[in-house]
Amino acid sequence: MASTAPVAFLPLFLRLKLRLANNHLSGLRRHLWIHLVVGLLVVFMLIGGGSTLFHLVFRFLMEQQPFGPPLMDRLIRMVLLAFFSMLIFSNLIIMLTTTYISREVEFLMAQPIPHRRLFFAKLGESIVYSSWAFVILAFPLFVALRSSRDLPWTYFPSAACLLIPYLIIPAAAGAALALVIAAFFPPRRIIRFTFALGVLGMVMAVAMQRSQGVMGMMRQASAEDTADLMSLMDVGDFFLLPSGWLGHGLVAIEHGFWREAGFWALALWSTAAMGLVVCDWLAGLYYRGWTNARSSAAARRRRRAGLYGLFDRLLGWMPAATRAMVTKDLTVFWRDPAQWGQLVMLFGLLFIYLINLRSAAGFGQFQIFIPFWQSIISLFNIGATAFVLSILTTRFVYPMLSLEGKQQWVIGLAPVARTRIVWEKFIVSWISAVGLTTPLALLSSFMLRTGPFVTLLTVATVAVLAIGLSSMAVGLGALLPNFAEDNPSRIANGVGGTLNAILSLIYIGATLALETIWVHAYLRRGDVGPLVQLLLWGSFPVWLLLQLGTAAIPLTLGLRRWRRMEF
Amino acid sequence: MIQTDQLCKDYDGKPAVVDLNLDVAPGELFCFLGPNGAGKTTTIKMLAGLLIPTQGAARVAGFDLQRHPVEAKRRIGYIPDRPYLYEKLSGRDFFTFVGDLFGIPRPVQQARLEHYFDLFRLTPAADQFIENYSHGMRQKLVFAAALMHEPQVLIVDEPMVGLDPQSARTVKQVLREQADAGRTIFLSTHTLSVAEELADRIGVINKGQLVFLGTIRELRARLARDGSLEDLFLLLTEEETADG
Repeated sequence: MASTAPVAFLPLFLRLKLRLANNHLSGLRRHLWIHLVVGLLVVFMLIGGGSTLFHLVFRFLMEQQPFGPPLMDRLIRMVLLAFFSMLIFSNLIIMLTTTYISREVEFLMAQPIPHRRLFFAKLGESIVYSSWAFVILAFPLFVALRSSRDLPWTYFPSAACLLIPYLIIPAAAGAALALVIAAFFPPRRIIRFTFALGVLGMVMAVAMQRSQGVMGMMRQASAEDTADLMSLMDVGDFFLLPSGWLGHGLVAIEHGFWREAGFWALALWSTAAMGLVVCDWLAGLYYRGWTNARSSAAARRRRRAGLYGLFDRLLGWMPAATRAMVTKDLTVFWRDPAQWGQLVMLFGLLFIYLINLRSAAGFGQFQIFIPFWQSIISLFNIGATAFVLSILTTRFVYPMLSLEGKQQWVIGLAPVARTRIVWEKFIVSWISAVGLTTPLALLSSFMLRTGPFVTLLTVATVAVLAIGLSSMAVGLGALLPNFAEDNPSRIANGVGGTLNAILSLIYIGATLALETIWVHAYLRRGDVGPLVQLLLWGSFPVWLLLQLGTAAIPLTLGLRRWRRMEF
Repeated sequence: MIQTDQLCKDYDGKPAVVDLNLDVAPGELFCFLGPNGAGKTTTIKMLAGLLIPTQGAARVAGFDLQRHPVEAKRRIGYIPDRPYLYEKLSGRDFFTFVGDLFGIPRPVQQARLEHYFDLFRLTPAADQFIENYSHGMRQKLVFAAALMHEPQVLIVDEPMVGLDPQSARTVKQVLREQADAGRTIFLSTHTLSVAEELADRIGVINKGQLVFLGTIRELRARLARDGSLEDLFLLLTEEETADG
């Protein structure tokens, strides 16, 4: 018989996860050199390259008086708000998948573990899964902030004190949302889930409206009165949102206003604690939601059975085998709200940002519509769109071939070329990517009232980047598949997914760097020195090689590997 | 030891289990039979606390699964039809993890590990990652882990799938020995020869309703037929389908 003493599950669960991580790493020794190279690339690119890039951007903005510094602060706040929204969403999705759908939970539920303890163990896991990418991305940003503003090294631990609760709050919010959604709306979970997305979207819209209010005030300010402008910005667009508190806290640390920094830290920590208390209060719903999710699965499957037929009819013009694979992918994708929900959120954020560019009219005195700023912001928008696209290709396209591994008994034995599936993923990815990003590129150009050259450059770059990013995600997905994992997020977070994310960023950065030379020459109407002339002429073949290489090499290597793949 | 009282489960209004009343005694090996989709796994999941009944109650060792789930689960060893295992743990690690979940002292765990791993011939693979185990080895590991805390009730869903003949015999012996030692075995299976060989009593469920409860001899008497359990089972379920 088992002991009747209560089992301390949290340390046991932590020990289990550490043991699993350790065993996973020990399994990597077989391909040590790949992981070493990837590890060094991560360190070099993110800490070195990323911080250098951010440093240059920040220095450049600091020098653009009076428009640059407020734009820089506004950008940082926007980034923090975007991260915050994505963290809520990411936590919600990870909680739903790891706490409700995961087969591990079914095993743990059958053990003598109080449901509340199990929930909090999974919440801790969710915080780690959803936050690590933010931590990696934020680190070079903070390195650059420190170096561009000559701050002491104590900036890092001080900033970390603000960042930890900033990560806990969205985790608690996502967990609370997951608890409520799963407990009360399981039979129509997908519809309710969309509703939750709508609420999040509205929160975003309200936040943006608040920013508009501040910008309205800025329109009244004199262009020369930079100090007033700064103080207006310091009032803070999002003072009810923790991302705003973090932004204010960081500024306070930067200026050595420790009392103020302490205030914002307390605001963040107390909200984080409150969030956990709310989760504890709602945790009683966990068991109900978990069992309801199972009870409703069969009915849900029956109700949505017509979707496959719909896609099948819509794609009737395709060859049968390709149509079957594309229909299967689209149906599976659509039936998993974790997939399209995240997609809606990411592109929704970008859309809101682009729509808000119109409000830049208020910056008339800052001459944002002169070709210089139009071009620079267009390049920035290409970068932002491509960055979101790279997240999409890493999160959704890269894992696709790994997820096919267990289906090889049917797809692998079908009388079609094995590589057809790789091509199918690439084409679906590229068409989807172009369909999503080209309208955004056009919107960006429309909002900024750019001329034909910049508009063409923006749209063409996004379309070409979609090819390269799709090829990279599909090619690396075929080269480094993970057939053991069912969760696409975890596949994307693995070595191959990380490599894909890094290479995507390098690719986007290199493309934009080359195009910056073109834009520079365009703005100068060709009146540039001999060095720039040389760079300009050199940039064309390099750009072409970069695009051809990125489109062809990963896909070719992936196809070759897939042909010989053993499942 | 296992009691269900008017136990019902609906899936969005569609009944999966209807008014199930069972009482399985200590030391009894009870086989739960039924065609696919009859409600066997739903019943088992309610007995393991993995589903909430729409109506009625289930009790294990006197503990209501909904009111005292932790106390009830402490007394259950559950072997699902598709068990989840941590691929990156070794068999030994997994066994230890389950032992810790049940609060079994480490020296006791070690002794039981040696006993059950020897019994199921898992000792040579004890330190291999589970990802390298065959289907049968996984099944045997799940059996070993489920028995490690010496549960009063063993709930087993389809135990024979993927087992080689030698392992299947071991499993049957273990189940019989556990029942003889006073533990209650609730066994769901499609392998009717196993039920015929082992069961003290059987229950047959069809379309969510318990259509027979008793010994195989009583089933023969009811149907007024001799023959194997397979013949009787097919006759009973066809009869019920025709009646329905």
